[in-house]
Amino acid sequence: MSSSKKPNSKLDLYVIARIIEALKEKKNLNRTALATVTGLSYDRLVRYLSWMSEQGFVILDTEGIVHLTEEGRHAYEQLVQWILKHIGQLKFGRLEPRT
Amino acid sequence: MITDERITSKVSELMETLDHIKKYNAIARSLKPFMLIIGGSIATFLALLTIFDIYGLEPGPNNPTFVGGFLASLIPLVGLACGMLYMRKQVNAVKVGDWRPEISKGFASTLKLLGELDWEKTLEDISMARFGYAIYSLLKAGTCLVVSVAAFELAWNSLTLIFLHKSVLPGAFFWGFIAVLVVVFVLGKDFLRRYRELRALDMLVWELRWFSVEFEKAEFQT
Repeated sequence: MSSSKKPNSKLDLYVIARIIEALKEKKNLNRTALATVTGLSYDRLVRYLSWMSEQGFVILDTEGIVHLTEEGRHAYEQLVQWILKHIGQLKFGRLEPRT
Repeated sequence: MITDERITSKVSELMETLDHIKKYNAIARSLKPFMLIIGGSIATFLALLTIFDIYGLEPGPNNPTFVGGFLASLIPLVGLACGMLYMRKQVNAVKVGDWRPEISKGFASTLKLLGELDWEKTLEDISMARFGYAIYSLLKAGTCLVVSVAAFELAWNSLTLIFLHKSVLPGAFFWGFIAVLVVVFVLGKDFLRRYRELRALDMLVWELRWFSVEFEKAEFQT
């Protein structure tokens, strides 16, 4: 991640994915509702939204409503594909410990 | 969504595998008590044989030593059964599947599960599981061997006492050889399965090491 304004020192993919999923599902939400839906504290959500807004994943309108952009949707789909590609390559042998 | 379902299914497979690792680790952690149970039973068996030998108690159908010898031969078998029951109890006590409610929530939750995994510890756990399982398998096979030797000696002793009215023992080496053959014949498939499991654990370390390095690189790209 190239941006210096990360919400935390370690970017939590889960939180970003959760925010995008909530916005995909409920369309447009204000920050308080989004915090409730994602189970994040308001401050934490604002920090993440600020970073996501910088990346162009979301837009905050003048009324404080958060909108998911095409770029955000695309980034989410890309990550899904990336995870699928990598986890899909894992092979697990038959394991069943016998006593 | 099909893609989400495929990821969820694959992550479920990974988490189930890690649940199995927990069970293997329960075996590794319980090795000490298992060895005590097995070692204790074999030591008791050998001590009884030595006592019979020291006191020169001649075995015979009407001699209480015969019954004593029979009961003594059962001790390693009982020890093995107790050891295996103990292990089974430890394995069954392992809590598994606590990730299931989380994974059913979709893709973000699979990311959460993957993100929360301590990969280094997981890899260490797999190595420990592999080592513990190998030792357990060897100990179990060794005990089966001792039990077989004791059982064959007892059976032979009983037959010669009943039909020849005297004890004719071909020696421990002979019975050891027969016992090895029988153990390999009876437990051959089990050995093979255990070997395959150990190989699968080995491969799992490599697979997960690769994935953990790749997963560190995962990010939302603009």
